Amino acid sequence: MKYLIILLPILAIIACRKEVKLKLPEASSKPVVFAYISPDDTIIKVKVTRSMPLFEPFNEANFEPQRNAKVLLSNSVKEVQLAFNSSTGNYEIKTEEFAIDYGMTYKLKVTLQNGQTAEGETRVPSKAAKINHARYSLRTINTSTILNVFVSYDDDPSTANYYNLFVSSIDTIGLDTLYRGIDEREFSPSPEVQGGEQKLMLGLYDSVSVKRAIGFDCYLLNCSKDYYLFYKSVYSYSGGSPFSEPMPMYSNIVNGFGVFAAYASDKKRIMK
Amino acid sequence: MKSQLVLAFLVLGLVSCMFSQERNFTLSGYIKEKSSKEDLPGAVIYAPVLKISASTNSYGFYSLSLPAGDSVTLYLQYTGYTTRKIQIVLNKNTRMDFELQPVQLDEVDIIANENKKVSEQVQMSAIEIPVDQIKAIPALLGEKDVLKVIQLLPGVQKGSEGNAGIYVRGGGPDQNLIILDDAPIYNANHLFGFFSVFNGDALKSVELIKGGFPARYGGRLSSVIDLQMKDGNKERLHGEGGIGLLSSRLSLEGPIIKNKCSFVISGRRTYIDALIYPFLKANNKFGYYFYDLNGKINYDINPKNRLFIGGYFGRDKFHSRFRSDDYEDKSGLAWGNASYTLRWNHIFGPKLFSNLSIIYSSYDMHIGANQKFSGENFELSYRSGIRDQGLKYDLSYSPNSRHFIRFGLNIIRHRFQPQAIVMKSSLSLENKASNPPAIVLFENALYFEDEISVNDALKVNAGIRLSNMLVDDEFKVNPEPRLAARYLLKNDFSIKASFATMNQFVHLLSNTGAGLPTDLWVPSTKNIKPQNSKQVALGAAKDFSKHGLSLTVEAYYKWMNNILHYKEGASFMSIDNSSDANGVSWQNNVTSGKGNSYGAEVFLQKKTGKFTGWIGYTLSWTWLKFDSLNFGNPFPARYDRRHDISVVVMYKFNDRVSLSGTWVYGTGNAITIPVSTYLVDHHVPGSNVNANPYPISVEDFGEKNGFRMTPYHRMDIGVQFTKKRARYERTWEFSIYNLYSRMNPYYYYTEYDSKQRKNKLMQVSLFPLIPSITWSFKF
Repeated sequence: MKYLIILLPILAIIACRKEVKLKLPEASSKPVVFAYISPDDTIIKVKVTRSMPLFEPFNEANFEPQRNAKVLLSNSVKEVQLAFNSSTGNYEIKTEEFAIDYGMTYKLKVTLQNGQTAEGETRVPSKAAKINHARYSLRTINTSTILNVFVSYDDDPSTANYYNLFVSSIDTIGLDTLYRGIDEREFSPSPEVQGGEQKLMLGLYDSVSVKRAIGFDCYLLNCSKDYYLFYKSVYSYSGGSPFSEPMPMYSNIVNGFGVFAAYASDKKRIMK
Repeated sequence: MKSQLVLAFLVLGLVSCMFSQERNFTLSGYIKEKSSKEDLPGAVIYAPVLKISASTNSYGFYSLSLPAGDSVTLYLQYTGYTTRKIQIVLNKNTRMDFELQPVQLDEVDIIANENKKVSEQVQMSAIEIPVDQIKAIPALLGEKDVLKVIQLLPGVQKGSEGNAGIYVRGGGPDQNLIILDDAPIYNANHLFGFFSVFNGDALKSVELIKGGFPARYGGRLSSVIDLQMKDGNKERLHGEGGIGLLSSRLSLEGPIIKNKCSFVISGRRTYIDALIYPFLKANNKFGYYFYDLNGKINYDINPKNRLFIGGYFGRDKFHSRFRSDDYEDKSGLAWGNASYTLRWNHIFGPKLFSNLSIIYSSYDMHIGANQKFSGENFELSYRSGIRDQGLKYDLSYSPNSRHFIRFGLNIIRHRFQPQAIVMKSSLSLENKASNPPAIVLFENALYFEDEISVNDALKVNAGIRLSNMLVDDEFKVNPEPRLAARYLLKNDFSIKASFATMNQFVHLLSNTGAGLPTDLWVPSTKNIKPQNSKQVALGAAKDFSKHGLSLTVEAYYKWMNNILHYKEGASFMSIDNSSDANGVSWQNNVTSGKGNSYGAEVFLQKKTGKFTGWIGYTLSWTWLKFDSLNFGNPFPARYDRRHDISVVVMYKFNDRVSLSGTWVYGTGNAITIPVSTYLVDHHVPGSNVNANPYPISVEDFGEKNGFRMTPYHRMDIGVQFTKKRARYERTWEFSIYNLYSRMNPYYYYTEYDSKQRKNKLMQVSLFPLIPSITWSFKF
């Protein structure tokens, strides 16, 4: 692709651009739902926004959290309605009010104020994978710092598992975890692995928080398949390159976009 | 399977009964061009009273059975050559070589009605393109291009603006068997697909077959493009060349031993890199060039044995180097084909001719990058390639005037190395290297076909090809029945029908459709089944002999199975698992599906006279369906084109001035465009974190290939001024590509208009009106 990037400016020298005057496809605004549930979290959060038809005038309100939606979360025995939290922009409920259990299936139903309804379903992995060992390395090159974090864990060969590794730095300001911006190169969901000890590595590059961190929290997520497929499509997203076939984003939200996914996690802290 | 067996028995039955024919004598030999002694493949020798005829094969050899003792009038015809009439009485099997000479301009009207008749040929969906016409048709930057001329034929679509990619009856670019002197050419493109690798000066003949495939051809689903290189002038040294805006070319041919051994060598190179290099800063250098070289030696050992050694070698290279005090970036992309063929023609007797070819063909692509900064470095090396070694043995046998039998075998050893990658970085603790073992695939075939004159009106070509793939201990024989029939309703009007089953064991993975060198050739494996197709075609052919015109109308339906495609979002550099070098695997990134294509084609052609050219029209539909693409729903192929029209005209005023022009129209490509957008929040584990500072904006795409680009149309014109000097002939050619500067779409993208606060769909067009000038000569 690098060569295409070189080729494009060359083409641009001789190429001409103009607006296409054709009847463009029409699209309607749809609910956009993001929800990740886990038995290891204390709170369940659902974010609801709307999509925006691409060729219609830009309307920022579509990307804002939708306040007056009805958000219902259910399992086979119970259904609860989540309340809107205006400070976070999410619909929330504490897990002590509605428990998320390993191996269970959950349904989510979102109804917008205009009556549009979107639904999703996910299954929580049966257990978390324990981190056996975690280590890190730091290298400084000029003004940049490169952090590599490695974890090892045992995979359950009896089920198909999908893993993901996150790292947060522990800041000197306090022991509260600060979010370390994760970009797509650093995020490496692993496809199914087949038993035995596995290793994941995550590399972070050039960050103030890496330098001043006093340690790192490693989160190993055993994800639902929805989670894996969604992030695989997020990080394969080509952004509409004219030289590659566009990839539709994965979604398990019926009549909408986004994902309703689940995970189980283990955390290990490594100090500098 | 039942129908295939019935067909096989039919063929065998016909073979057994043909030996009961009455005893005739056989006239055989070569038909050659008079001055150069170049063989003329496809020349026709026929006896109108007896209503029997024969064509020369690829090597100019014919064999015709005639009744003993009678005086027979024979006509020898070849497009663009003066028809010869001879009287002959055969009292024994006779070897007789003939020579034809090109038509002089003052003869063109006289011989217009003596053209080879399309209505008489049993082969349908096939078009021969005279090399002289390829050279006469105006081209982008004056670069004559055989593949772009093929794009002007009905049933053939091009990919995008300026691109030499070929899509035949709904098939992908990998479904075309492009063979140069029996050797397959895997990447027929120079300059990222804008030009083809074939130098017209080195070519003798070009034939396109897009349906009703004879059993002697196999290995691809959609077409055969059979190119023959010149053998070389056996009489005298002859040369031709030219200087154009983009490249220059030179060809030499002549005798090594007069009338016995000849050579031809032809080369071409671009010089953009040499021209711009002095103007670049010392620290910022980049360039691009391509070259190709064709060579052949032809040796007549004796009247029964001939030897040919020929080859093609071509390469493209793009390279750049950018330097500053603490930074250096060197990168390059190179790709090229090489093919070599050793052929031995042997005449066993007047009825039996054989050719043995030993073939080598390879294609490779290499990407290299080396970046250094502050003492650290990053290296990338990516290689991909395919290498073939093959043996082909073809025999043709003419037992009598009613049968013409071809049979033979073909063995190819393909060696694939789709992806070999080395990435080294001093910044990373883990370097990555993936060099999976090469995959070896044997592709074998046995074939038998018989062209049978059942009676004066009905002629049939029935055949069977048994193709076989051997890979990963997988061994399977695929019977491929072939049938083509022609029924003459009148002397110059016939109806035709054909059926062909094809299998394809090699596949091209491409997610651009632009014919880029980064497209990967991959084999069928245990998990990836061979592509296969079935095609039926019905048609009619009419010759208007008085005007030298021929008209063909055909309808076809093609079913394709196991066609291969990248999964959505995958590309040649897809890495499944960034922590594992072996995560780079093409097999994990492909999906197979099926397709069907149907349509109708009309082709009106005038091959001889002062005024020549053709009009082609195609009406077609092409649908694809993959379980892993477009949520399993069928979608139109990108090159699904409802209407495609091409008009090609050439007019030769006299020996000094000739005009040519083309006009093409095609329905816009089917593409996928975004229809809405939304923000994606990344998940952040840990309950203390409740906001994502980096949401990304993504687009939702409408139906796959559900949007049509604006239609494509363009007119090119050219004029050639030729002057004959005492020792040489020179031609100035002035041509204009895209005469009315139509802004045809190359690609679309979306752009946000901050004034109107909405997105617009923007079109990028490549080539406005482009004039060019070429000076060429020959002696």
